[in-house]
Amino acid sequence: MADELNYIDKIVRDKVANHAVESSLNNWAHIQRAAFWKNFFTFRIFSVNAYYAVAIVMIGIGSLSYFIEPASNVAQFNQNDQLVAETNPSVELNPNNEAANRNTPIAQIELTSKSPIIDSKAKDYQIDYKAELAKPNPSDIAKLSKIEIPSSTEPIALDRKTEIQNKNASLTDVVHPDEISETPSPKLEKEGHADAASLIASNVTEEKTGVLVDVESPTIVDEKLDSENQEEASLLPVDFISEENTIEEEETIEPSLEENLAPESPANLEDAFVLAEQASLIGDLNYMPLRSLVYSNSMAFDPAYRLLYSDTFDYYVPPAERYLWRLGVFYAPIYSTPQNYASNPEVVDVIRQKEKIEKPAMTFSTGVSLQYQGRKRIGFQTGVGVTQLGDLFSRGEYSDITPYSYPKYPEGGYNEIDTILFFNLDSLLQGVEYIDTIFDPQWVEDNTMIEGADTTKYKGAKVQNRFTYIEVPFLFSYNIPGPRLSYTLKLGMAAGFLIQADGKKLNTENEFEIVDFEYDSPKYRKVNYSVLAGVDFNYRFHQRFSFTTGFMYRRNLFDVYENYPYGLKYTSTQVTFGIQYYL
Amino acid sequence: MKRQAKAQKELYQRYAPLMRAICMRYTHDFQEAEDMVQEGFIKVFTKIDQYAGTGNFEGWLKKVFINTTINHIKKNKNLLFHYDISEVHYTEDAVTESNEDYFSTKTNILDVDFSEEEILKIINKLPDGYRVVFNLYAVEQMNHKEISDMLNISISTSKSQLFRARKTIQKCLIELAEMKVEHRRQREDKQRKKSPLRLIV
Repeated sequence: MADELNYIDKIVRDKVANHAVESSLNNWAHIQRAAFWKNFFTFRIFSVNAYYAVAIVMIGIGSLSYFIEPASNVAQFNQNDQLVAETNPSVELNPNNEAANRNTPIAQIELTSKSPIIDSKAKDYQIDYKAELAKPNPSDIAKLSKIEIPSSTEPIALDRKTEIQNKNASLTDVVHPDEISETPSPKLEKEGHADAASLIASNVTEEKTGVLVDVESPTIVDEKLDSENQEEASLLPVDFISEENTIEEEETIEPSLEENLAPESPANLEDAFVLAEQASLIGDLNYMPLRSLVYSNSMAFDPAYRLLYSDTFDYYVPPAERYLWRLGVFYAPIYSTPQNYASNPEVVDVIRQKEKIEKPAMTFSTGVSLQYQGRKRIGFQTGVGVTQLGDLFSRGEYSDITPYSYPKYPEGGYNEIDTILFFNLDSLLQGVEYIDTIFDPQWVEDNTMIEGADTTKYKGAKVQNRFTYIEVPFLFSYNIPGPRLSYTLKLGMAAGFLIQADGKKLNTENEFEIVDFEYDSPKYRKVNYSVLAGVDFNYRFHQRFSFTTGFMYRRNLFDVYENYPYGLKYTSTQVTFGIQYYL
Repeated sequence: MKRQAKAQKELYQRYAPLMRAICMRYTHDFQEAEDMVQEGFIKVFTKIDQYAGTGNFEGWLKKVFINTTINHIKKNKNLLFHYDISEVHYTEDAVTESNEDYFSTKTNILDVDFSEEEILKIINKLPDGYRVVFNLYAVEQMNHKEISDMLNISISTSKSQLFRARKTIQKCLIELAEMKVEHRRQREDKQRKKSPLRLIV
């Protein structure tokens, strides 16, 4: 029989197969625009697209901030910053090595003009300490970190001190007169020596480049001397310890305390007291490792200055360590996608239907966050927020076809049967408006029955499902710092406490009708958990404020309902915008 | 970029009329057909790299548009093929012996010259399910297995939809043919009546 009707196919095919209908150019403009944007948001390696654009913008911002901002470990210090000695120096890492590894200047100390003496000394030394220092070459830094400067262990005979003073600046140049002690130090009294370290430190004041010093592990200048002569050699000024000036060739006389102090000479007297003071202080200095190495002009490097005017100095402390806690507010539009699945095989068809008519929806998340940044870049984040998940429950017009079999006489002719004569009470009660019934006329095949179908068209419907949670996240974070722009990778979980549910669903008896969830009262899960993963870009535009943006992926761990055959979980992606305050 | 835009426009101008006609075969709503054309070309321009370069480009284009059209109908109209041939006991055998005049009808129909518009009007009057299956089978020349896979229906449903579509088209064509014959006869009668007058004059 089917073959007998093949000629119908041929008639139609011959007429319509190559049929053409002219089109308007208005359509073309629309197509061109839409295709451009669709292409733009599709990633292709060899074409311009949104992903490349975002990357270029991010790199641009990063580069800009790199040039605008000095290196991350250069900080400005205010008058309130204090030099604080380490409480437990033995456990502190050698900052020299860290500096060498980082290949960046360790710190730049900026002196304040709090102390007038610094200004005057700066003039004496022709040092512009307020000027920004040029950024050193990383390879130079690596070299500098290996420079060994003797300090603190080399006693120097006081009779040679004058000689040194003639050549170089003495400690008297760097000590405030008020700080001179009236009492000679017991160490000076006993040994008649001053500590070489302070002198050597002051000797480098002429240098205007940065110097790195490892205070923790000072070295002896000349290790070639045998142990027998070490003691003798230690009484000599550093300059004299050389192969040419051996101990044997030059007779050394240990001066007496009285001679060395030279009480008749006010200058010497002053120096003696100064040296005494320094001797005691340098001792402390040896056990006070620097928090960071100093890259600065020599004046700032001078240990005496650091000790005596500690309130005008500080060492650089990286922001991540200084501002461990950050408090922020955020808002994030969410692209929420429903994931339907059947926990009961009997409802597979309904789930398939749901998948066709449920679409992702835009929702939001907002709240406050608290972030802790640890010293090892690892930290955590928590907070509290309101998060809404949901979907767009959208269905276009649909037709419900009711098959029928009905006795009819006489045979032959067409018959129409309308199953809904006036209105569809059931559908109206359920809030689904129908449009009309369309009769499907049927040819009466024999003299007893007609078989056919009546089609009822229903109007489309659009509803939104919304589930609102109070959410408490806990995420581990890994921070990648930069001058201004830092990146934070985050991974963790969030507990969501349901506070409002506005849900619609397909009628289980007639899967083409949308009804309220209250229709058969499913139980909502009151507490649901989600897995969160994302990345934040943190742009610090102020010492204590930063702007944050980022991407976050979220996936429900459990169903929205409890004990319900229609499984529903949400996956969502969000773009976060926020402001953070460094506590 | 400019060259690409130019090429796209040329492609659109060349194939848009044909593709619009395809879309209009699947829907009786002109605006909906316009939407399908737009959707189809956007898909073509964004996925043109998927065209292997071998084979008939027009064929590939048609395939994209047919898929777009079917998806569009399924999405917006909830196209349903609810009653299976076995469910409603409506089998092809039920009508095999019913009309003896099929052959004569066939002969009559084949004698009549139908226009494209007339055929399209008849197709557009078909219910969605009939129309889609008939188009896929008769015009696109897909088999029932392919149709059932594409529309997610059973093969028997596809067959029953096709059968019903053919029957409906046949009925419409017969009516149309009869109208045309009648119209021709009336015109001939008119001319016959007018002819003697002319002779007299």
